Order: sequence, then structure tokens, then C-alpha cells
Amino acid sequence: MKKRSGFVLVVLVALLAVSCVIAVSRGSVHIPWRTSLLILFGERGDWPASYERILLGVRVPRVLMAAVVGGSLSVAGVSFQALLQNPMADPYIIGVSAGAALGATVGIIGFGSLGFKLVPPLAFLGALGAMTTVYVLAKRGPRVPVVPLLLSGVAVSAFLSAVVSLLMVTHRERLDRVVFWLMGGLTGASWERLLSILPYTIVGFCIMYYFSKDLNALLFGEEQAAHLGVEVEKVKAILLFTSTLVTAAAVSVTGLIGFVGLIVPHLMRLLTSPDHRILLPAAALGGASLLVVSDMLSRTLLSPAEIPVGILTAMMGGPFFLYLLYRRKGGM
Amino acid sequence: MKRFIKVLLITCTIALGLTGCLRGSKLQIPPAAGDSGAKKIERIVSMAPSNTEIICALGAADRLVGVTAFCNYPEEATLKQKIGDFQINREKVLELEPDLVVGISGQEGVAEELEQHGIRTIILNPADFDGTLASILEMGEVLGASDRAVQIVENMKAKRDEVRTAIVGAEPVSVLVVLDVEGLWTVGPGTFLHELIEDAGGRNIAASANAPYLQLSIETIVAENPDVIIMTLPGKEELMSKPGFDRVKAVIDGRVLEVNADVVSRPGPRLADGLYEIARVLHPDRFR
Repeated sequence: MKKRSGFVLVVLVALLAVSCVIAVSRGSVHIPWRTSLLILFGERGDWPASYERILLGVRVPRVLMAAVVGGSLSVAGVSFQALLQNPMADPYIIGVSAGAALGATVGIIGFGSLGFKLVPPLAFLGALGAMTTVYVLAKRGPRVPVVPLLLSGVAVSAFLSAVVSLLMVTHRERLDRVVFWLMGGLTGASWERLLSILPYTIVGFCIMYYFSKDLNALLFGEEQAAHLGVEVEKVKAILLFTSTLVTAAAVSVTGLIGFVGLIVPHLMRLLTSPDHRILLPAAALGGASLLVVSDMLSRTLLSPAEIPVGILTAMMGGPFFLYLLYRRKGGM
Repeated sequence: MKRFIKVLLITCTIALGLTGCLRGSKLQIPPAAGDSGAKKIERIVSMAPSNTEIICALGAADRLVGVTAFCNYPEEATLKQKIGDFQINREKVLELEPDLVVGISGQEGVAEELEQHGIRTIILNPADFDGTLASILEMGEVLGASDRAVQIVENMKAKRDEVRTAIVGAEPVSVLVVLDVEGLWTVGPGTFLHELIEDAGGRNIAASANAPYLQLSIETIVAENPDVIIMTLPGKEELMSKPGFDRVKAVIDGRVLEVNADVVSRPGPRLADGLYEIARVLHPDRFR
């Protein structure tokens, strides 16, 4: 079992590397393979100068951002599913998406031509604000039980989504921009944005990994975990906020990319093991690959138009997940 | 618990600090070829249909290298390379190596990204008819076609004066605009269509609204009983068969009219034609 998990991790690293290379060499502008590689290695040649700008200024940051965001959403999904002991949990379940959506919508419609600069910070703050509200509402003395957490998550999300809808109806002239933000995508990727979210992903992942044994214990239920010596409430608080920060950072620059954070954790659990020491890195790698490939297809299938990436993550991940689930059922 | 808060705070500080450091070290991207400001503009990318119409009207269609999927006028613009629709494809724009990219309000973010790649950008953001005239003059200056721009603007003004003269003393006609039959969306103040209707001697029944776009209830429409209904999309039959519409004056009198949405909503050189068209619909007796 252990050996197999190690093998899967190696395969996932290779998969991510290959996905990234292919994704960088494909796009709505055709740049030959060899030229792409030469440019990446800093060579100069007699190709149009625009190739360098496209590759280094647009495509590479976009592919890397897809990897970082895909990985972030997936590890956050793993953590939320374990903490809430709920297979339906995803990074958006306790209000992060609705809070971010409200922040972004206010940025888009409330600040005229300056709004575009305020969308990421407002989305980030909205996500943290919503999650904190849910957390405080669910708190029962020193404890934060799972059911009130989920329920107040649903209620707060519903309320904030309604406010977003109201703002969309009253500001129809900016409707399309809000809709595109809500669908999510990597169109606005840049080095600056990539570097602004990377620290959250790295630090967040390290914190989660540090607590992976506690997450394993939580699989047996909170009471059992407590008996095993886990400080349940403390771990829950730390990881809920860590996962929210990681998600909020990703969402603030890409909008709401659905599905990755829900399905990749399950997919990796089926492919590797429920042991979080394996599952967390596997989810990070798998989520990164899925989003890199999905985004490449979103850029190229209907080029020069783009397909919102969430459509592709669902269309590719969904059937594959069902296949694995079915095969396992058949084998049992 | 206290220790946890400490750890969390430290983590956040590190994360934020790291962000700051990394932001400071900007990656070097090759600058655009020959970015001297005074150079004549040879390659233009338009990120909106209204901009495309202005650029072509100024006689610069041959210098236009990229347009959006929505740019359907004039004919020659439809043959240009497409650089996106609602979303602008950055790669495609860079590939075309433009020395000017022209956007509209709402595209400030894309414009800033392109500026960072060393491409000059302009945002045209006219709020009304006069603003549109100013935009045309501005583009004329940028493209070295000021004479042509002045000529276009004079023609547009002349057409507006013609309409104004024609409708002097005419009874105001109450108008309902229907943008979408399903939801009965209409326009309020702050839109080009509203301004055109008011200039053409009409009274928009949604004039008191405090939003540029709004949904009207059938009750309001029946109560306001508009003389004319202007639709920007086909769907006349569907609209007239909606409950309550059989009592609306415009439907009884057969004055439900479909107009070309592009002409009456794009802040470009055809706006005066749109005004003329609406005035003719509202006051057919004044235009022979």
C-alpha cells in the first residue's frame, strides 16, 4: 500500500510537469515547440519579439497560476472534508465563496473605473469576513460543533448570494463582468497576481501538512480523535482558518472556480490513500494538473474565445471520478 | 489556544511579508519594439464595437488589425482578426503587435495589463451624445485624422439639429423600451437610448427610474399606457401576446417597432442615425 502511494506521487509529479510543459506550448497563438523551449531557456532568435512577451509575460504566469490555484483549492478541499467529516464539503462550503463574491461584486460595480484594482483585495476580505461570521455564529462556548458550522455556512452563503443577486439586478450594466467573475477563470493571470497568492499556498500547505496526523485521527470522529490525544477544537480552529486563507487567496485572483476542491480530494483518496500525509501532497499535485490541463483546453478549444474553466474541470473530472467510483464498487 | 493565535499571527505576518518581498522583485519582460510615443500609429486593436465603428469612420480601417467577435459593422471590420468577446485574449492582442489598443469603460484592468507589456492604450468612455462627439474628436487627433473627425462630428450635429427642428412643437409621445421580452427589461436615465428618446421628442415611461437598466411590471406598463413601444430585439409577437398588453395603446394602434440595437446603443458615428430613426418612429407626420 505504502509503496503504491509513493508510486502514485511520483506519477503525479511527472503528470504535473508534463501538463505544464504542454500547457505552455499551446495557446491561441501558435508558437512552435522548439521556439517555446528556446525562449524559456532565454535564447534569442529570429522569431517575432511578440512571442517572448506572449510566452514569458502571459502564458507562463497563467499556467503557473493555474497550478497554484488548482493545488490550493484541492488541499483546502481535503482539509474541509476531514474537519467537517462530510464528503460533500468543499472549500466554499462555509461561506468563503459567497463572501468573496460579494466583495468582488462591490469592487466591480461600486468603484467605477478604479474597481478592477479593488476586486482582489475586496474578494479576499469578503471571504475572510464571511468565514469569520460563520465561525462566530457556530461557536458554542469553547466548542465549534460541525453541524451548526455547516448550517450557519449555508445560511450566511444564501444571504450573501442574495445580496450579490440584488446588486446584479440593480446594476445590469455591469452584469456581464460579475457573471464572468462568478464563473471564474485565469484570464487576468500575471506574475504579480501569482506572487501575491503563492505565500498563502505554501505556508497554508505546510500548516496543513504539520497537522496531517491529527486530520487522520479526525477520520474516526471528533470523540475518538480526542481520545487519541488530538486537541480537536484547537486543530479545527487553526485548520479552518488556514484553509480559508488559502482558498480566499486563490479565489481573490481567479473568481469562483468550482469542482476542483470537491472532486480532486475524493479522486486522490481513491487513487492513493486516506492517510493525509500522502493525500495532501497528492491532492496538491492532482489539483494543479487538473486545473493546468482544464485551463489549457479553455484557452484553445474555441480559440480565440475562451470557455470558462469551471465548465471544463467539471466535464473532465466528473466522469473520471464516476469511473473510479464505479470500478471500486464493482471490485468490492 | 494562546499559542495557536500566536502561531497564526506569525504565519500571517510571514505570508504578507513574503508577498511584499516577491512583489518588489519584478520579472523583466522584454519591452515592446520601438515604444516612442510620437510614432505614427500603424496597428490598432479595438476592444469594443463602438470603437471599431469610430476607427473605421475615421478612415483607419486599413490600420485596424484586431477587433472583437461583436464588431459587426462596417463590413470590412468583420474580416479582421478576432481578439475575444466579453473577455479579451491577451495572447492574441500581443501577437498582433499593436501600437494602440482602444478600450471602453470596464476594460481598465485589461488596459493596465497591456500597458505593462509596453502597449499604448486609450479608454473611450462617453456618457452621452456630446461625449460621443468628444470621443470621435479624440480618436481623430490620436490617429492623425482630425479633419475627418471634425467632419463626422459636424454631420452628426447637423442631423441632430434637423431632428430638433422637425419636432418643434410636437406633442411628446410616451415610449416604452423593451430590451428583453422575457424579463421586460427597459432603460432608464443614463443610457444612450433614453437620451435619444428624450431628444427625439419622446417621454420614456421609465424616466423617473434611478437605475440605467430596470425591469418593469406589466401593471406599470398598462398604467403608463405608452403610445409607442420600441424593441431592440425581435419578439414583437411574443410581446403583444403577453397578458395585459392587448390594452396598451401602442399595441392597439400597431405602434410596436423593432429598431437596430447597435445603432441606438453604440456610442459611435451612427448614433445620430439612431436619433433620426427614433424621431421618425415617434413623429411620422413630421418626417415626409
